[in-house]
Amino acid sequence: MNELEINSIDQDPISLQFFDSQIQAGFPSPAQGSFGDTIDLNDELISNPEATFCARVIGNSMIDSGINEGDLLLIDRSLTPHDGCIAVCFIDGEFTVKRVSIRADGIYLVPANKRFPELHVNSDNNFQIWGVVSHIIKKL
Amino acid sequence: MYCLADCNNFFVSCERLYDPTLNGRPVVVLSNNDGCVIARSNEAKAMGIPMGCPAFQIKKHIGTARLNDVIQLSARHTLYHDISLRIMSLLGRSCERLEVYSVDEAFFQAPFNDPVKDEQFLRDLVAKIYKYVGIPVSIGYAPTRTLAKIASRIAKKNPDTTQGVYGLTSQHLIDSALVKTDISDVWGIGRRLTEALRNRGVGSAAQFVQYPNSLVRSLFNITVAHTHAELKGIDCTAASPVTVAHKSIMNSRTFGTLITSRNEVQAAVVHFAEHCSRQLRSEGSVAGTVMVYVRGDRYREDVPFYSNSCQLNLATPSSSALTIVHYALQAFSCIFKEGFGYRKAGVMLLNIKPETMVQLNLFDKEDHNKQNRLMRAIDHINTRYATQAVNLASTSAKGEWKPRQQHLNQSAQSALHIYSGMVASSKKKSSL
Repeated sequence: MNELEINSIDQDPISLQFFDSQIQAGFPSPAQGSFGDTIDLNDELISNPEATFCARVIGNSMIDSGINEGDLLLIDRSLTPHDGCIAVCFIDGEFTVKRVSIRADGIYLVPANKRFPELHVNSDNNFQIWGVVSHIIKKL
Repeated sequence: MYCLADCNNFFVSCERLYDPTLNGRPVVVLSNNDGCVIARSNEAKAMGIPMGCPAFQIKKHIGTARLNDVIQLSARHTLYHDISLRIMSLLGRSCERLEVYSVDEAFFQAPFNDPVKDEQFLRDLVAKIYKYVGIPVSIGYAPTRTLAKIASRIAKKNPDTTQGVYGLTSQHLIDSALVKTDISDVWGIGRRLTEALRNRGVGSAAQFVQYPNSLVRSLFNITVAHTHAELKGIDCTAASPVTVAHKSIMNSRTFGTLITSRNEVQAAVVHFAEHCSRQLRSEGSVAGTVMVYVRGDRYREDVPFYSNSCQLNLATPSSSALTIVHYALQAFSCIFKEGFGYRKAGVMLLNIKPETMVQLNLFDKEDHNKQNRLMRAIDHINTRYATQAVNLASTSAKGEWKPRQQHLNQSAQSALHIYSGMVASSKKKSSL
């Protein structure tokens, strides 16, 4: 079963009021901030609209990296995969999100949950790094 | 040089992006209600499944035993449209004068006028599209569109030798390509014309080129004569009915200041598109193509210069402001780049014809009657009260794009008091 369902993003801009003061997880006083600026979340989160896709997470193999079931991933395919990046991969017929580890003996897919094993990708696997995850959007 | 970018097996490639298990297997995409085959993977082509084949006849072509090997998928046009926009937007930002010809094909100009540089540029572009969007694209380039189409076909058919890019950059290359091109594969030569030409001993594009001009003109219509000339390397764009109509409607403006905000330039484009569509409706015409262009200020040394245009064909020719603005916005988002200053923008409507001549598109989802009624109502209000009493919400940005009007005659602004009157009365209500 796929762990991810990949979607496109509607590009219509939506401007939100931007609360322009440093928030220190205390009680922000609205009076301190300067209102007036707006922020468009698409603009803020997507630097390459043509290459950006979005996927919702199913499963909990990445919880120690802060990725939980139901979170939204933004995937920027324009980014080149590198050692340590979190990427959406396609392996043997399934999409999965894992940390990519490039070692002397090849590529490993490393989960962020002790209950899951690492996976050494070998030539028998039908494997492809589909895109690098650039942001996680989660509901609190 | 004209370039033609053509997506390989586009609908199948889109399906494969979202489901890589389909790679390397024979896949066909079926039209609405799973009627006919509208896209085939190379594997499905190799099995002998013809384009347009009704789904129930597939087994007749490949035999019942192999039927289970073929993966048949229902079309998902919303998905294909989204992927198409991504590709067109990448092309529009990298190239000049993009003309989106269909969901998976677009013409544009090669940037360098230098065969070596252009080829490298196009190879990088093919690689970039594959990396960003995951769709394999073939690009052909040549002195005319008709030849570029032949070049892209060669690129697509010979991926191993061309790596997806092929240019007809010399007369020698053009000649040998024409010999190998069947007349039925020439752009604009359909089934009937193929038959008519075959009956006269013309079987290949090379034989067609040898055919005397005078005979082509006397036997066939002007479009065929243009195709004939384009195969000889003579660019007939200006005269071609495909791109240029008998007349066009244009609305553009030089801005009072150099604008950098996307919203502001976009608002101007929407305004121009709306204005053009109003003019169309007042003449009882419809447009088949929407073109948008933006231009910076060449004389400003502190801001980098950028200028580009993009044109899109409508599914069905229309005069509705909603439709025209929708397409103008799509074209705009294909060419707008952040980080530049804009001094001028414009919208041009092409392929204009009388409303009565419209042929409906089978795949068009718009309710045209409903839109026509809405447009009539809006035009009526605007004629009666003020030009801009009712407009689309997307035109109302800060208005930086509007011309400097410090010396405007007050009587010209009298229309505005409809606005102020409404604001005043609503304020009164809230204070009570």
